[in-house]
Amino acid sequence: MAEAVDPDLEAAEFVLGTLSADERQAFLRRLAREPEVATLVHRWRERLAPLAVAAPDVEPPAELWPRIEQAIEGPVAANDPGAGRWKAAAIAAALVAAVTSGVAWQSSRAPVPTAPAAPIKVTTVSATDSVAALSPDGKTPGLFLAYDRDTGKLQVIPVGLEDDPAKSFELWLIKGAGAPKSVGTLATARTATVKSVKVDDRGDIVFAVSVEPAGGSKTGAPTGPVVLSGKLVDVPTT
Amino acid sequence: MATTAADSPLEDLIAATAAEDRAAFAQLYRRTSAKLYGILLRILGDRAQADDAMQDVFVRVWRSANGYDAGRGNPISWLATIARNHAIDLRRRAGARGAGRQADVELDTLIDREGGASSEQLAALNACLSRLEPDQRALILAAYLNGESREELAARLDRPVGTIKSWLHRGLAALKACLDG
Repeated sequence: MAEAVDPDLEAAEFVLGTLSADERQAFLRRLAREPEVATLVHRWRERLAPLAVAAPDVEPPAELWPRIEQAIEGPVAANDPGAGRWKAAAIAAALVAAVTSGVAWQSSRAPVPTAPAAPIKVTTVSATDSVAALSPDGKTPGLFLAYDRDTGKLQVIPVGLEDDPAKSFELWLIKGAGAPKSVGTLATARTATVKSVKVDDRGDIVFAVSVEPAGGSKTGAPTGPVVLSGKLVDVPTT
Repeated sequence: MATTAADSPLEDLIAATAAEDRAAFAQLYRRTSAKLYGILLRILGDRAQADDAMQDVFVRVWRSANGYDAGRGNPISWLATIARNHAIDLRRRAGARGAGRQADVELDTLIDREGGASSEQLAALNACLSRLEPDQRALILAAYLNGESREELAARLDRPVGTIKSWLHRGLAALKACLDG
């Protein structure tokens, strides 16, 4: 409400976690604008940290560490590593083929924005359950997705998008007739990235890319034109 | 591969983790997991949720270890901050339904437990907390250690939310004056 709130007390409450959702949002915006506010936050963290460190230890269950190790590796299926590797290799090969043809398509168009895009690395494509090729009206794909259900990792591989510093491409997940849920913006239109996302059942899933103001939609819903969309399809396991 | 010994400072383990040294990351987990799990479990109040949160926290540590700046605070408070923020975020999103009220923390039981480097700071913090009005102290501890929201604090003391806010502010201002003074 009032801009008159003492930033130091706001910083303290931010660290404590007692700001309301609105106040927290407002404070985060302020934090982004005013670097000195970050120093206040830092000081409060340090003042109160001894409490966190002194809180009683609890030994976590032994099975947690293997889960964490898996989550950071993008592992093959634990019970059948052979099949998993084979599957990953097949997907990688399919994606390389598709990416190559996408690039060829792009460079055959005039004007060519930036000469043949640097090869997009797909060597990190790991165990994959589902893939999607996102295209404008079912034409040549502009973006590939590969989803690994076990780790919730979504590989995002753009092949035919143009960077525009004033805009951001934002990726959306649409389940059935539900409202689009943001998966995040694409850092650049040319870099393959990995997003964490939960696609929790095998119902119809569509991914779409919209053009948003730089940094992404401010409303939590797509506001700009949808330039790409595609359905997520499961990869047969045999 | 393993260039970091078991007794390496946590700073070094985090630096090696940033360079994707898995052995160092495993070591970091061994050394800090009980502390961070304790923080998560206390705020979330449920083991299954704490397990999931623990995975998220360590995946985050793995990915953002290069964001740790040793010049800005000690490594355990950096890790504790990641854990606390994530747990509070989850707790708020769940509307605190799952999170039962925790027993109040007896400050005295926190002192002397740790023989580590932070015990001196903890003693100082404790001395300043003990000078606060009991209600103000209870609010700060319940918010910090249990992750309670302003509404939950209001229910705890049976006071309006606005009152809680001003008590928090008074308590925090007094705490700061004491610690910095």
